[in-house]
Amino acid sequence: MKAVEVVNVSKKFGALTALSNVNMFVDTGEIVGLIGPNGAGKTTLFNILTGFLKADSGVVRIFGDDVTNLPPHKIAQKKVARSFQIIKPFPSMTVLEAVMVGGYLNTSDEKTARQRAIEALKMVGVHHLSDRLAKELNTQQLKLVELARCLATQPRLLLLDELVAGLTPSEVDKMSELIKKLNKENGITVLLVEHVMRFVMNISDRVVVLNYGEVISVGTPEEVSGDHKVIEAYLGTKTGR
Amino acid sequence: MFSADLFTSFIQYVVLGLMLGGVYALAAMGLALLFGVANLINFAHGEYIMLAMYMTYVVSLGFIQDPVLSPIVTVPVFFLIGVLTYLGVFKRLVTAPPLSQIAATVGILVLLRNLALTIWAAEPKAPPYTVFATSVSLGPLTIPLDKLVATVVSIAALLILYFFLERSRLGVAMRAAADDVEAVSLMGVDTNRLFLVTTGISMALVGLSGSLVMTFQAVTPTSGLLFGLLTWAIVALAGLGTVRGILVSAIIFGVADSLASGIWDPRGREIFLYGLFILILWVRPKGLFGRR
Amino acid sequence: MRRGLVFPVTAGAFAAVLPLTLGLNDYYVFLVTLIMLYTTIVVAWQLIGGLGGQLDLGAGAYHGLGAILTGYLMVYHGISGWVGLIVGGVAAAGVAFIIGYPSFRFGIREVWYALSSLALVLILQKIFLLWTDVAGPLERYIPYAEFDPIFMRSGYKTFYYYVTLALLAVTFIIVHQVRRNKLGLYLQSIRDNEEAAEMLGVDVRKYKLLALMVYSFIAALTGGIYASMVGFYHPILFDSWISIQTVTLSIAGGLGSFWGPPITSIILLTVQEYLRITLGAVIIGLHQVIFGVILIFIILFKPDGLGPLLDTVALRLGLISKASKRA
Repeated sequence: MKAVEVVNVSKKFGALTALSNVNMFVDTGEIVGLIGPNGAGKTTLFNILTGFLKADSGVVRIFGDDVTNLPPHKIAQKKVARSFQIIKPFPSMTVLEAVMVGGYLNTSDEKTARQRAIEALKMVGVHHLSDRLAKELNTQQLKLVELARCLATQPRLLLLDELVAGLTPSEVDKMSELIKKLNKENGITVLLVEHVMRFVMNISDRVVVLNYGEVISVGTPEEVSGDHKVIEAYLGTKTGR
Repeated sequence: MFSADLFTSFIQYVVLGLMLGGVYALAAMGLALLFGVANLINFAHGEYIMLAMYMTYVVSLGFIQDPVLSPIVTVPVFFLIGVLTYLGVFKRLVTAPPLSQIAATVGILVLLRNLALTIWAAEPKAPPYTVFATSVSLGPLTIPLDKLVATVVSIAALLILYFFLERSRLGVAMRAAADDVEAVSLMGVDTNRLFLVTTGISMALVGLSGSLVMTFQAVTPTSGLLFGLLTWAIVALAGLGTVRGILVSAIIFGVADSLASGIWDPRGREIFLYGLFILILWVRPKGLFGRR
Repeated sequence: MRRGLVFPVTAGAFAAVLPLTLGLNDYYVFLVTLIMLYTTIVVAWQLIGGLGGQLDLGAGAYHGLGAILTGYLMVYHGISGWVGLIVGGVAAAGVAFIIGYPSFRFGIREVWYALSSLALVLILQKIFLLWTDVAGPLERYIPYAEFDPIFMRSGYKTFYYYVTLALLAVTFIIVHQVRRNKLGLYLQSIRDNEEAAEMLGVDVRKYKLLALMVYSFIAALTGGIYASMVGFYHPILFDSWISIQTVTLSIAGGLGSFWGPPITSIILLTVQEYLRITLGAVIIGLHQVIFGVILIFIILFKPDGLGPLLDTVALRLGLISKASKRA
């Protein structure tokens, strides 16, 4: 079964076409990277996948279920977690409390939620920050906490929106290891949007390239980086544009 | 004839509503400016209008008998009140979260409302006399002259404001700030002074509109809530952005108000207006004309 | 005794004997009961406002609805006030749902939510002013009974004191429990960042509605008790001042603090009553002017309210446990 199926999805904002008949999929267990120049429609697609936007047309399936018109929290309840491009911390809560919000998914038991939260924090390596408040943390720590929050929901599918933006190269490499581990050892399917090529090309099994709301290339990282359509999209054609 | 009379009444109410709308637009404009330019939520805006109305009343008892002339006093005084309010309270609120802004201005609301209650008690107050007490006939319609003057003055003021925002350096800076405050400060504009002037102008508009509104209705300590909700409703419907947007939105409310009071029941006025407000929020949270 | 219980138990014991220390003087007991009624609303408001982060100004609407309906049932249908309280509570929760569901569905927040909830108070007041069968412009008087606990009517204010005390205690317990369980955590996440909460599976609309409906139910109960206590009801009880007072006291007490708002409420309301008694006769409305000044000062200089300060003091004095602190 495919983890994610996007079938003929289109989305317009007024006169601006953000997505045009996008077709793509993610197999269960894969890590797929979604790349493309700015404005290509990547975040729009993410927002549609997670229920923050409604597609104008097309179907989205996650693990076989049609989620096209579902609100975000219902999609999350299907074990889909998402991190945000601009981190969204819970300022007044401690790290543990924040992650427990994720832990309470589909349960009302405080102990269970706490257990899941602690496990998630440990997985990500920030358990020692449990009692700190969001405002005391730096960017990398906040990103890790946001990741832990996602993991506390025990997701089958993880959607990462520019996870490593603003991180140093060594922090990026640490993230790579972490995501690969989550994928291999915990069986979490990953779809990630990214600009940092070092990260995407390193960990993705396959890469999908968007430009002007259309899929222009799909393949392994090597195939895609050699594809002249992709190069043109990023650099423009010889005749200039 | 029966239907002709009804039709005439209807037109009468609409015309009255149009005029009312002009004055409402002026009342709401100050709020829109403050909210748009300085991103300040003034929950006490209605109370300031109420204060202006009371000031008009006091002034009309004194040396300037006619309420339509009282702007001579209220406008500069309120500009000053605006400056003082900014220096005293608003300056610190500009960077504060919306909740703090609301809370602090609620404090001002409480202060002003109870001040009014203390000084003037609960009976409605209206100016005793106006030189424009006559009416003008326009075909079958009767147009009270004082209301007409008030509307004309309002529209004139809005026009002046429009040109100010379009042509003057300060006005352009204000419009730019409404779009992007950071960019404006990066371009070397002293946002502190900009917001100070904006508050002053906002209050000056309040002062003017308060005086003009007195030609349409009397004032009580609860007028503050009425005008507060009304002006916020106008801003909600207009979305932020343009003088024209505020004017159209205010006219819609003015006509609705006039028709509801005239045709349905004047006592149901609040139910209708506030209900309309809530419906607008539900149906069009982005307003008619633009961003919110 | 467990640390966290020292303060509540002490306060509870003190509250239990308070009427006796006041010599069962009807006037003083009345004032104290009034203060406790308003404090109950403040505590209940923590659900929607303190934890949920929604600036709700609808307290006057729910309080008034409870008063009108309870009173109406007692006057015109001879129905016991206890039943009337429940009816009023359910009606208030229903109204909360009617306005809350669309508001939350359409994402009405911050100043717009505050304004629309305030509008509700005024709309209801006008409706009931015009609805002469039920309320109308004249007060409706509830038949006097010296002591009829079954009907929930008594000439002795002490009766209402203990009813209110019970309600306040229950409200405290409810809010305390919520702060420690899933509902409380979810509400805080909604307050802090709705979108992030949504993405973690939180049904934002459902939980906001839940908090709103519980709080409105309790606010209505305070209204019903009030009407029975003063022996009449009137649409003036749809009072925007109650809404503003509730929010003011909560903010002054510190949003997110558990003890801050109720303690601040008791202190400031007592001060207000004192001012009204001494100055109010001379200068009407002055005591409320001071409220406004206090609020402005707190927002400008101590925006977290008095809560953190009170919490620290109480913690030092060993009166409360750490768990009761900020949320």
